[in-house]
Amino acid sequence: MLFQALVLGHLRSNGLRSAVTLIAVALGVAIAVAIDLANATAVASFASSVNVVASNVNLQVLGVGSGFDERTLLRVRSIPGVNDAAPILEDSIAVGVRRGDPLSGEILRVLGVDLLHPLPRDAEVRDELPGAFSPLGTGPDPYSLIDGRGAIVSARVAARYHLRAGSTFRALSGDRLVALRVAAVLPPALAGIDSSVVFVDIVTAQELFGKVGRLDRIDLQVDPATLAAVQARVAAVLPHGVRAIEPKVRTSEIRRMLRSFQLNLAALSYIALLVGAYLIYNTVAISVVQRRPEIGTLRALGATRAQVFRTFLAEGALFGVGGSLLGVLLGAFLAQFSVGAVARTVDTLYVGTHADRVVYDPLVLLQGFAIGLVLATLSAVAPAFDASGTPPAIAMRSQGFERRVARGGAWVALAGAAFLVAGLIASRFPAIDGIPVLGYAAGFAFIVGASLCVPLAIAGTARLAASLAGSLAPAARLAAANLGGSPRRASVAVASLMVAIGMMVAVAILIGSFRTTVVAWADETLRADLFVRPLGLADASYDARFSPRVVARIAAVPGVAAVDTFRAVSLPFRGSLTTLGAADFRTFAQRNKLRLLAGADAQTIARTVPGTLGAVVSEPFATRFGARIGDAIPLDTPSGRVNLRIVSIYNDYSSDAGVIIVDRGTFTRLYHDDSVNSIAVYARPGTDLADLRSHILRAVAPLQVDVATTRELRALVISIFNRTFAITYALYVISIAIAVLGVVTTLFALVLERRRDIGLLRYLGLRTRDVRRMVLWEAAFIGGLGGAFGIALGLLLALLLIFVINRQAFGWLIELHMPYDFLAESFVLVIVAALLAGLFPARVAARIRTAEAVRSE
Amino acid sequence: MSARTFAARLCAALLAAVVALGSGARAQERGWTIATAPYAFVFPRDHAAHPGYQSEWWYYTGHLRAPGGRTFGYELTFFRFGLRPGDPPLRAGSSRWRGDQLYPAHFAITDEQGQQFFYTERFAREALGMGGASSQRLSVHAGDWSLEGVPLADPRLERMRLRAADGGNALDLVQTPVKPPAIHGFGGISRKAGCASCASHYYSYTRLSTRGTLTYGGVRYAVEGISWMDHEYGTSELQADQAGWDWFSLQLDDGRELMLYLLRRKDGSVTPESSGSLIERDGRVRHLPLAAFEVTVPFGAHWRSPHTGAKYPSRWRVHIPEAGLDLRLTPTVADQELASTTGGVSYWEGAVTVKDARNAPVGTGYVELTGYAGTVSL
Repeated sequence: MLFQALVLGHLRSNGLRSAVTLIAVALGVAIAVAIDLANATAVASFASSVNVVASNVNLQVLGVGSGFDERTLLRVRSIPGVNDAAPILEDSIAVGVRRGDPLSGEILRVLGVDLLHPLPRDAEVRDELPGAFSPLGTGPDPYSLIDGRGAIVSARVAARYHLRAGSTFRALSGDRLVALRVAAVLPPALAGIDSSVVFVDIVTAQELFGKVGRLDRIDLQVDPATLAAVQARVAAVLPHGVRAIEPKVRTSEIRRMLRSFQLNLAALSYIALLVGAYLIYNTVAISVVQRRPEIGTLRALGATRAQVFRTFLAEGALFGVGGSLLGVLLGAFLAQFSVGAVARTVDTLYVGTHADRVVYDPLVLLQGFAIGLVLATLSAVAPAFDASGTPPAIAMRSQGFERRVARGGAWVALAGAAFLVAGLIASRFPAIDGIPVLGYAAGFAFIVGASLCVPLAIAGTARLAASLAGSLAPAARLAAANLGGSPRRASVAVASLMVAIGMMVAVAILIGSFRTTVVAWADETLRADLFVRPLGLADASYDARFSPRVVARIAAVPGVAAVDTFRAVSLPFRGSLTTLGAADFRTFAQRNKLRLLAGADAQTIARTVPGTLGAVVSEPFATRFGARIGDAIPLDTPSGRVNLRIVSIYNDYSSDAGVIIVDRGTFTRLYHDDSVNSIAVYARPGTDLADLRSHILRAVAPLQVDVATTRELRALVISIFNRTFAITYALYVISIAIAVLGVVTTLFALVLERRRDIGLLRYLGLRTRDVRRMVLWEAAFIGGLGGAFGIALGLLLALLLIFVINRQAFGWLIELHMPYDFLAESFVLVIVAALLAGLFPARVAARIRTAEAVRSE
Repeated sequence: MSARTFAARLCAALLAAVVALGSGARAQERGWTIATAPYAFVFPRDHAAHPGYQSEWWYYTGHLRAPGGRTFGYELTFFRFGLRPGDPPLRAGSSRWRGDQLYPAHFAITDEQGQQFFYTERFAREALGMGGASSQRLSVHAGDWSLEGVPLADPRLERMRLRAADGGNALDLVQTPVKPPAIHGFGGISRKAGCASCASHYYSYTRLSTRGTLTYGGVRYAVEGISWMDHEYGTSELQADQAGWDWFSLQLDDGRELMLYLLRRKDGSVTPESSGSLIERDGRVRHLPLAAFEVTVPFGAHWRSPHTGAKYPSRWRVHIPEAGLDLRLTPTVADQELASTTGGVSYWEGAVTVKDARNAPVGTGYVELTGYAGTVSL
């Protein structure tokens, strides 16, 4: 009853403000849900790829790089307890690459499986079998799958490239152009999450990718009761460097590798929700103030404190339920875009997931809803407590609440200062298990601390404005006095703006600094004249390779002074994944492309390391795994277990998963792999690079490669960088939109609440225009204060992001670079946005008529 | 959709894709050897594989008795299926998975006292020696399931060893023929329909003395008993309108054996080429045309499979006046359906008791029923 009387009726009569609050909460929840869904999808689509080939796979045999001997399959199959063993080859091809646009096209994941082997299937789908394949002898011709390079593609791929069963399509596999024939198109319902998978027979995969006699993976069905024992028996028959692991271990390696990236994204997304929470606080606080007379009456009539408290808490919860519900729906919709953005980054930088369909994990949706609800309810605690804590006598009088707050402003600010100090202390601590837990805590403490300091700062500003009275327009004077008179309400609007702006500024400084650092790094490390890479977009799989003869042919081209090669494989390491690279250390002294930070210098490396187990590791590797100069890195390779020794650490921004670089000779010896992923070409002095490029293209023909100049490669580095941060930009634009909504509600509330004052002012001769100006001045004050505080908070957060969080989570060494012009622009932008937000409340205020306002008294 | 269901659906689709490939059975005839008369079997050569024909099988069924009286039926079948004729040699640098023969195999045990049925199947490619069959001597394997023959003094006779294992179930049996191979049909071919190719070369060891071990549910039994072996090879034997067949192999206590097959058309009628053989005590084979015998299913004698939903006949009366036989066949276990776990064809193949009109036991038998759970193409 109390709820109905105090809340529902009020919400109805304040429909607009309620709606704005609801939208703000919904937007906050939506962003969090969209990002969480994208993160979950990236991992889930990887996990689901485990069961693409066979069902109920509970053990996998995995090789590194160029796989393992196919006869391993026989040994694994003969182990008791292994019920099914499916041999698999994994690789990728690029399709749809346009001439003259080496980065066009799409990467498709190719799975080479035994297409002639009927796979285990469930009884439940028996009815869906359109035809039966008789092992006694079928009429159709399965041999064409083997001999005719038959491929089975998803309906999406078929539609995109206009393919039908029987048609042929061309694709790039490393340096070779290959033709595959579409044997069948999988209906969309069967393609699962990953429509980028192309199925071919083992024959096709082995011959197409130069892996005759090799397998990359064996998927096993093992009796679950004896899994551990069977795993040990399987491991015992595997060649060196090949692992038998449960699929969930693999997934957890991926999850661990992506953890920092995903956590960072999630943390940013939750800021928007925090801004939404400020709005709920504001709305409930306003409604408490507006209904103080009713509360007083009800308290006098016998309503208990607890009842009043619960009632206003319920108002917050109501916003929470409505906003979260809307937000979850909106987030589920937005996930279509966020999944694409997140998956692109993950594919480029970490591991090929090819997620192209949102996995609507109900847990994620539920979590988004729960967090929205809890946060909304918590935001209402303080105003609800205020409402319940005031005795009936005071409640009957207006404005008592604000006076009390003004008095308590100093204490609140002190608490804020304490938070700021706590944040500073927290930022001094190292990461916990690779996660900058205390760094994030420090960020949160900064946000809370700065917010608590806002009321005092507003009061100070109001006093300052009052002392400057003579030099200010009357409307501005009134506006300053108004804000100073109700600092609590204004401070919430200022604080929410501050948080949104602060986040934008922090992220902008981070990205700006990061980009400047990366550009400098790219300039320094990309020193060759031309770079030869596989055609088409590349993902992080290192599947696209060149044969060594390409290297030889390019080295022999007139005008080429020298070539350097690079080969990399993804490597499981200490429960996560990292990259093992192979470079030519012999030429290190002349053409060192790495910025060495510690350990042996380039000369020493060139002299002593080639052919040995010495390794140079990237700074992120050292950070992530706590590695130091002289440490041993144990590796299981096809040639047995070896201990690499770290001789040097270098500065790197290409992978936060870390890179270990060994000498090319060592790598070839250990992994029996002489292919390369990219070639750096050094031209003789005076050689025309355009000519050299066409000579190289002619020299390798009919093989297909992309030859890029240093400038083009640098542009590529920057474009990958920008793409990585694209979603971050989207995040803070939305946060600012939420904060601007907050300005609208605050001004609106201030105007409505002061109907009587405004009416009196009108009565005293204030013109309509002045009323409008007054409200706009209020908006400008809120915007200016929010902007100024936001920039200050943003600087603090930026330092935290650059020197604590990114350092601890990724190992990035970023040089601080202040984008002053951006800061100035954003300050102006905030004030303009606040003025725009003030337009509608100003119009409402200007419409207040004298007689009516005075009558209401 | 769970990952499990997803994988299953994908498998189904892959299979459908395999089936959808190519332009049908007829195009495949080119290059394959057709079973035509006259054909003279030469043993021991013809025990071995015949890769010139598209399909071939070695089919063992039998009845085993363990000390203490426990009885089992078993089936172990090796199939060979040619993907393309000619068997061209591998080029250098080719994948070893290019082999053009497939070797599916089926293994079943009927536990007659426990009324249980165990079945598993395999599917081996030629690659890496996973599946194979010698064309010189009787030697077939699919993974570690194998069939090896050693010729005896009489070139027609072969002692054979069968091995198969899957989890707690295994077979290791030695088979010794009691009678020479019985060649079915006329002129060395067994007709299946009217078309030129619709025939196979088909002979049976109708009475094998069996000895060895059988492991069932993890328990090993020393067993002995009686078995039947079919070896059949041909190309495109069935016609499009044929749905499947009912096949009977009976070993009578009076020393005779009987083989009958009824080829069913999709319209429910029986192909006139359906026939049988009566093997006399001395091994002579008497051809039985369709008119010479009558097989009827008593009203209501059907069993519906809980696995595939297929409805199978489950009791028979076999009446052959000219041989003085009027027999009643009853499955020892109702559910002896080989419900494919891999998307292959499901069929019923089971041990039956053989009684005379007065309900007295007069022998043992096996019955095979195909085409009830989806059509079979051969």
